[in-house]
Amino acid sequence: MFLKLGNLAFILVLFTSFSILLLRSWRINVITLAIQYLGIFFLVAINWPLSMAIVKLVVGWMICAILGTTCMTIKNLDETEDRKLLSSYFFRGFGGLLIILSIFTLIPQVQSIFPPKIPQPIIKASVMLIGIGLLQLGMTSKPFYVVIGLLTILSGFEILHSALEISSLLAGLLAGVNMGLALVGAYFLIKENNEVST
Amino acid sequence: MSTPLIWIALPLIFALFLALIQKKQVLSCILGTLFAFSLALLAAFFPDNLIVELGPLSFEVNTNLNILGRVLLINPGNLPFISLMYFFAGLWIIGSGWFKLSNWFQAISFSIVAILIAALAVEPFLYAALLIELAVLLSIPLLSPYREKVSTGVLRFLIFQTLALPLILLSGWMLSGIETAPSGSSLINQATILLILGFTFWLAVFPFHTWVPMISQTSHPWIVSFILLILPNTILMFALTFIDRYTWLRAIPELYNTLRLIGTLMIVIGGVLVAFQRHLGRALGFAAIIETGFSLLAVGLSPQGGMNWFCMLILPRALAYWLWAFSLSQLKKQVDDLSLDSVSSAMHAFPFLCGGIILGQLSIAGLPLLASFPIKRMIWFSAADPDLLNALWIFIGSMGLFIFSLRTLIHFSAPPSEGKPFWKINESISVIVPIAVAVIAIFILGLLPQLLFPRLLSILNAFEHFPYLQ
Repeated sequence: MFLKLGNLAFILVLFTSFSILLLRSWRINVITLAIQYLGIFFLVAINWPLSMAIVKLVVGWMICAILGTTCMTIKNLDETEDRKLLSSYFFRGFGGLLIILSIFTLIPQVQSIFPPKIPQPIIKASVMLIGIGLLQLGMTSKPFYVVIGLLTILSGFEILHSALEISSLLAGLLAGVNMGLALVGAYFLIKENNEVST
Repeated sequence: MSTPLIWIALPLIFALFLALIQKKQVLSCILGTLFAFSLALLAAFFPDNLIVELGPLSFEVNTNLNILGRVLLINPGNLPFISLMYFFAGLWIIGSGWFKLSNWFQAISFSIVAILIAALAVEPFLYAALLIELAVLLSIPLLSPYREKVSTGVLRFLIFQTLALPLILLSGWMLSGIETAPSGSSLINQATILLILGFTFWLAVFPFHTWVPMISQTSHPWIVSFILLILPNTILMFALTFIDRYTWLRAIPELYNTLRLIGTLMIVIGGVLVAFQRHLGRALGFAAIIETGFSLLAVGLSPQGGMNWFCMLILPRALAYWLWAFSLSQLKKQVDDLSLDSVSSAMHAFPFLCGGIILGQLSIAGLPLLASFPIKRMIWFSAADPDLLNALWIFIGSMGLFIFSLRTLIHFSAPPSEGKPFWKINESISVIVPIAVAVIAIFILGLLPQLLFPRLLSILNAFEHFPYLQ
């Protein structure tokens, strides 16, 4: 069933990752990230048993909850300079589109590295998340967006790795790393808030 | 009872206990130091046959601990390195008593060491990448304390260390396929590229080194020195495990030349850049880059016996970092800003602190009579053997730290402003004693290298298949 949903999940991941890159509103970003984790869950469930794949969804939503509740306590988080500039939206959007286009071009070469049994939506979604995540990291120095960028890259890798290996310890440790990143993100946000208020 | 239980699980539980008593800093510091040194001593003198005899009682300690279908495995061969790690943890925890660091330092540093040891012990060993990432995440609150700004250096540290994780895990999947792949397979090239990229991110190899001087400028020198000692050394041990495990990797003809080239590149870049620095903290970061370069160079010189020097470098490096970071942290308490202009004529007011900083720098630079000299000398000579030009580059890189030490000395000894006494010892005895002990230890290691260095070679027992081990 999940294999049939693969393309749908890929489209979901494509739109969510692009909107996270484009928009600079923490509310929209956290909600979009939660939807993105739903897509990731569908893609991981193609190869992993449902009981293990659901871990990705639960951890992903917990990450969103951690980041969301932290952002709620912080005033003026969205009030950044580049938010007001139309050119910054254009620049990020153009960069994101370039990444998406180049990924569609590169997919056959990337697929040749991995076993042919891996469904194409998994490779496409994985490479795209990694690409968009890297672009996100290159375009911001705001801790909140850096952490989201890192989580996006890790999500891309996890989708790919789920098709290569099934291991409970690996799933547990990756969940720990993702949660750790979210907590570090929350810590950075609280620190920034503390700095602004003092 | 098993070895992973003693050196991984027990320290993690102890770290939790330290976290509970984090507000009682003195107690936390004393208990942390005692426990770390106890674990170090236990690892150093643990029987090779793993049979413990307590009077009439005797029992055998297992080497395995099963977790979620995977195994943590600590063999007697791993114990010398574990002993060093806990010894360093003890040294840094005891030193933390002098400074106003995060209350969590003792607990977190203990957890970091235990997790990094778990990284070296986990089977399949590629899962180590995840444990190293967990250690990196744990170090963030230390490097970026609550009341300080989130620095770009810390963000870059987090980004680069995290980017290494997927690369290493993906190469792990490829490595499992290579065992059955024919030589010359494209899989070998792909896995090698991923491995090199992953370790380049982890070890802050040029051009991914920028976070090192950044964090060493903005974060507390004591914490930075601890992280820059523990993390690269563990990652280097992990890298050696790769070479030890995979025959195809050892069979790559250009492996050692590449390692020599990367090592030399790090020494030259670190050395040239440190010579022009104007901040004592940043210089510590560049010194760490140079030291990683020397370790890689030593591994690259394996056919000439470089693995011995790789092991022997660890202790003098730790002592020099300790002395430099301790003196620097004390100086930071007095002057706040560690730029060379701010510490001008500081030697007239704080002669022991300034002396400690200079000696720490010179020890890392490889000045004769100091701890690193006997090993660095061997590395210099051996590097000249296959390639004289390589040795020239290493010489240029090594000179960088000497030049910076000289510049620091000139700034420290500048005449004091009018009205200030020409010489006055402002340090308390509680600061002078640890500096003196570290200086004596550095001189003893430098003057009597045969005393302790041969014992460090037992670190190599962890590698069963590594070629050129003597």
